[in-house]
Amino acid sequence: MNILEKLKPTDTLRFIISKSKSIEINVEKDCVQTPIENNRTNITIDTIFNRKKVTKTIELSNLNNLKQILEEMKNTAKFQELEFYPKFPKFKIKKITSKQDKRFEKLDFDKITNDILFLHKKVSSNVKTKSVQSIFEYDECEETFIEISKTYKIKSINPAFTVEVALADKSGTTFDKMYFFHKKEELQIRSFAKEIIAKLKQIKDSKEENIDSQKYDLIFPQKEFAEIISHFIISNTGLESHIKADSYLNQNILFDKKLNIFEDPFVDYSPNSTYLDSDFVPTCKKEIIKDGKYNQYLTTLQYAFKYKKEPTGNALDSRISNLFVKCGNKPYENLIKETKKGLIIYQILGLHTTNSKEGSFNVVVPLALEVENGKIKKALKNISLNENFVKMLQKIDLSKETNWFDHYNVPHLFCRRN
Amino acid sequence: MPDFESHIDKLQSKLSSADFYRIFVESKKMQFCLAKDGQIETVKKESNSGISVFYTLEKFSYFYSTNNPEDMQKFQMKKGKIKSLDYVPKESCIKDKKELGKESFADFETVIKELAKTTKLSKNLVSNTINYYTKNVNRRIVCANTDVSQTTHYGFANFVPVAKEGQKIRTDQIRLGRTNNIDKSIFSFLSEAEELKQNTIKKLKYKEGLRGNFDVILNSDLSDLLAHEAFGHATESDLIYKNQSVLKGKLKQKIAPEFVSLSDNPTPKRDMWGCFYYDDEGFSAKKRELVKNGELTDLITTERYAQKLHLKNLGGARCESFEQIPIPRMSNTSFEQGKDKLENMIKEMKTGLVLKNGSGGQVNTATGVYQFGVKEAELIKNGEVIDHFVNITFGGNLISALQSIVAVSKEMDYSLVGFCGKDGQSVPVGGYGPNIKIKNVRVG
Repeated sequence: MNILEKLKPTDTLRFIISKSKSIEINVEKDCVQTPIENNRTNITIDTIFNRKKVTKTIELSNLNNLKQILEEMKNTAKFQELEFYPKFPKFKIKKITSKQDKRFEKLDFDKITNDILFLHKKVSSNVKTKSVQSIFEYDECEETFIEISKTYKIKSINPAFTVEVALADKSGTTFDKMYFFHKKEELQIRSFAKEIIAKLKQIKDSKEENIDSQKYDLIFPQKEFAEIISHFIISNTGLESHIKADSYLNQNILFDKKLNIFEDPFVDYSPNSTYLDSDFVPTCKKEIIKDGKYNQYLTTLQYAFKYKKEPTGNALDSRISNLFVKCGNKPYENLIKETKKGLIIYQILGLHTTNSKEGSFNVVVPLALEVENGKIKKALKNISLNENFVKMLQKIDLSKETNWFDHYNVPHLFCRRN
Repeated sequence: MPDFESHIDKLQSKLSSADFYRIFVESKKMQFCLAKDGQIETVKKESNSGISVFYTLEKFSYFYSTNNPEDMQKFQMKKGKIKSLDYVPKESCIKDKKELGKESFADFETVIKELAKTTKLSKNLVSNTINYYTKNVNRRIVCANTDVSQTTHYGFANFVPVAKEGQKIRTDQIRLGRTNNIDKSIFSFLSEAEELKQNTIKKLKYKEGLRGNFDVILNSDLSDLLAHEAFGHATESDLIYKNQSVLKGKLKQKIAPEFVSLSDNPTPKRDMWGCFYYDDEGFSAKKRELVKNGELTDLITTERYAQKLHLKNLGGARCESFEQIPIPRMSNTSFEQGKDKLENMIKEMKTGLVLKNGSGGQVNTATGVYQFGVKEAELIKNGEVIDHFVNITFGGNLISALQSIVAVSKEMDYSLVGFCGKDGQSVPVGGYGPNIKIKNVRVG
């Protein structure tokens, strides 16, 4: 019997079938590690019993016990006090056909492994390294959303590559680079060698100096900028936090007007694009920070009901689909030339230990490049940053170039001091 | 739950031509409750299971997992073209069945109603949240001559209050985690939660932004964090082998004063959060004396890295679930008990800080640089507390930190209840440690 025939959705019962496959290739210097293949099929049951929303994820083989499982869920609902709609609200959902690159489905993993080995050899023969390690991850997921009289299917393929190098200089500095691919032609692992070697040459022999970071413009490369947005902005955008005003991020806060952060769930080629969330709520474009001002909360259906607000389609694994920071007009190189005294921040150690609700952070930067009069002067290590996130973003520049880091598409950030 | 156990015999015959195989069957059952602001918001009862197979054929190895028994019926070994094996996998040849802790017998409804009461809001408290769960995890590891089964009963609770006054916001957290049920201890935890609410409100008055170099006393929570995060990770044999640890080449060398000892101990004791009898390769888990009387003595190994580094395998292979290959991981990592009285350690301090409770940490094992968040600090002058601070960080280099330890307390306490992340895998880790005093530490 077909799975779909076993699932009989009602006004208070719906399902999400999720089928995923992932493959991981890990290479340490010139040694390929055991390839890892994981397969998973789950069914999420979403129900309402007596105005209480209850969800449970089961394995496919448990479907034969569905009646008993629903009975258990009914008992669970008795404990819950948080109310929900009497039946699932209906939303108008516009199906969108995915334009993701289907060529990823036929990847040759042996070729990728050989490309990684080539990259490692090239890097090690150009720069003295203590270790080079790479991981190629391929994730494929197909979700089928089943509600009364309607079915939606969303498929995503997400290949990513990370390379991490430890230099064999006195500093022992480590450097990592992440690549996220949306089109097959971007997957040119051999060609990454040039960029990585250039960066390693720039950062080698970093020295520890006692400097006052407050006197420098802070330049956050795309990965580090994505990290701080996730920690200080996205983590504080929940509806409940918005209602209670329990974080520094409220409507009175004003960043530089150049800061615009928005979500676009309909990017053709992104694996994170989706036209509905796991609450069966349609996703939509939204401006989270508009002209430097906090503009839009993100919520699930449960909290939207609790606070009598509109749901936003953000019952998603990472809370958002595709997050964009609006880029600037000037290329990165020009902004560097305009920098009199600056620090390019690579890696932020201990960001997660800082209190994102309070908006201040004291962290260590294991590696930074000092910029003086528009030129990179030297590599520094172990610099302390003591910053207030809001103050830091009062005067900013954003580069023209952007890059993807998982769900985030961001430019380089320049925090100017005056 | 799907019955993967019944697939083991068939799978073994399919794997009979492999040079080596390890079958890993896992099943989990969990009861979860989220109570927030005086209300029970979410109750969940989940169960899941899965199976994985690691096999080798000449110089090729492969790892396959699924949670669908139908996939297992179709499973066939494949032989890859690219060499992916650089050691000779071995098995423990142990056949045993163990149970760690006891299942919870508490009335779930009574417990969660108490949780909800504790999360009621009051003046200055804008949010109170408790996560509570009981979880039973069964893992069975089968190789040609090995069959090890281990059931662990976990009990966990986490309380987070948020206090607010004007624009000032303070958050804090306490955790309870045991490899046993927490039927009794949950009630003393709830009393501690009540105290924490008041302390969080009090902290609205505390200052922020303390910076400088100080002599510090780390309470047991922070000393465990230092033992685990700054030091323990650097003793993981994969990082040593891959040249990613500052401790490479320092085995059997003096790296700390004579009176400093530090261990990682998974053997079941005090129901600590990171205990286990057998590691996830089926080997017996033994205490690792990472630093003994100041000397780097043991490392944390898996079978592969023990072979690579010519070390004894002390059973340090752990994985988050059946979907991952086990890697070297810590369990319960702490400094060993010292001889100093905490009271005297404070009295003898001219100017310094008592740092209390960590909010996480991070280390770059290749350089030894670490950075920790601290929830509260007491500024000490001539042995007396003269001021309080919040939201502090401290950091430095792990080797210099070890060498700068000047006192270790007699007093020990349960402290670390954490989830350690590495290579995308999270495992429960614990600690039971002393207070330690370190000279000249960078704060802020």
